[in-house]
Amino acid sequence: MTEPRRALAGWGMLLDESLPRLLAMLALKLGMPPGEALERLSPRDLVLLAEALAADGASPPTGEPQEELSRLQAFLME
Amino acid sequence: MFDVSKMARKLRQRLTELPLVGSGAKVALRCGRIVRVRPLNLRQALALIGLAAGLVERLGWERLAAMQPLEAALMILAAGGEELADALALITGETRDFVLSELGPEDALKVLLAAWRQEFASLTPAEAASAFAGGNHD
Repeated sequence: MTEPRRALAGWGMLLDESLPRLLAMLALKLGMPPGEALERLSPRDLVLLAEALAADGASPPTGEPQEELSRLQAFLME
Repeated sequence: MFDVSKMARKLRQRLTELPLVGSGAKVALRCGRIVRVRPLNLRQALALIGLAAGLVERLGWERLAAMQPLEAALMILAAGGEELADALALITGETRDFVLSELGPEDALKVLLAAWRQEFASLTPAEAASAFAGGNHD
């Protein structure tokens, strides 16, 4: 994916309803809490990390990461 | 078996290689001051999307979509003052008061264009809209 399109995809991911799930996955796999991800990552970084997760064969957690999702929702509602 | 710790190490390594929240381009204003167009983090990007969505809703999507790009840009500059001031403050990291007192319409356009170029490089707005409409995959 070219850089401009990767950046565009990142902004698209922000509009995607699966964003909380992806951030929760980052939290679970990387140990980066959603609040930290929102502060430290750019839309482009989000795509790079999603690509890295996919390249490493990670699949979304089978169980719903309710705790991380709730934490993220609370953070976004602040 | 999936090795979480190995992957976490690799991703942490990847994080150190990412150009996180760099310095950003500089834009000279008419008044002589220079503002920085900062790369946005996810929280700021979400806020910017929220402002854009609010503005489009307020001005009317159908109305904007029927206009020529330049006409729509002028309409946003003329009628989108509230959201635009917040967006420019977000993009430059300056205060809202600074934006309202120091930035004219020409400056606002320069900052927005610089922010677009910084984020999307050579991608034109039309290409971006087309990529979204068709799914943003290569």
